Amino acid sequence: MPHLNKKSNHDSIRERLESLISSFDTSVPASLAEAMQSLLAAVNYNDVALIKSSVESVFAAVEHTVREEVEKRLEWSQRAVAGLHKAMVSLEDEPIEPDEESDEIGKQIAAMHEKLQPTLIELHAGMGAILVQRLPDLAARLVNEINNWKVLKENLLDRWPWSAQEPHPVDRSMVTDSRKAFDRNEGKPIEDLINQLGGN
Amino acid sequence: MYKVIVSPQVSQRLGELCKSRSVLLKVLNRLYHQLGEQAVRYRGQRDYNDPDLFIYRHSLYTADRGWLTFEFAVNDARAQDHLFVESVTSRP
Repeated sequence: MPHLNKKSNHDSIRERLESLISSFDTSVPASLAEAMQSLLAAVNYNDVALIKSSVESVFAAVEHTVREEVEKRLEWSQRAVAGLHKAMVSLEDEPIEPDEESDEIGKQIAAMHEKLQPTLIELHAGMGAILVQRLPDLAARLVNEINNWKVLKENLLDRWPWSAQEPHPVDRSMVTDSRKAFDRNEGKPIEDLINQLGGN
Repeated sequence: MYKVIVSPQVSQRLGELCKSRSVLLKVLNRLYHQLGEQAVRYRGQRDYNDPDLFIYRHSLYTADRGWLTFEFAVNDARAQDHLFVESVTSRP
């Protein structure tokens, strides 16, 4: 004898689907909303073959939506990383004196890192095991991009020459030895050292 | 413009720290141009223990070693219009 007051799994699934669909707003892509409606209809018909096919359509719509969103964020991130690599190459040309201007550049890079890397990590975590399995190329690209930021942080940001850094203690014994050498007239003008190295 | 004079000790240490001719040349050129021409901007950063010295610092980004920061102790009291570089330390 069935318990009339107890909801069946079927009812419970239907209610959940209805509740989910009613919460959709315009931000939910039409293809996903339509696929969910079809799934609800299939559940109402209690047609197993139709339910299976509708679930597949929902997955396809979710995959499409996820791919679009992830691609968009990957593009932003890749553009930022490329810009930073360009900046790093220009930094290799000439030393800088740490000052307010270089601090500002460091802060901007840090802000970019703080904004983009967690977004990528969240996206990857949010994909869940099923989507990672279904979209392996996208998951791999996300992991790769997360690693790019990690390397950038380690190489560029973690040792950024902030102007407020306390100077190292002066090497006093080198100062003493240098003064003795200067007294013996052993110092060299810097242009001579540059010329010796073949520079100009 | 100041005449920048480097002690043999500093010259040798720089060679050890820079590890490559191109990095060493960049550092020396920066000392020549920036320190020699713009010393007035850095002379205020006096060494706490030796009033004859000020600290001049510059940093260079290298593809293989990341940031290299050099801190020079420079004596501006020894002779007029001359700057004597008496020590160098580096981080990291």
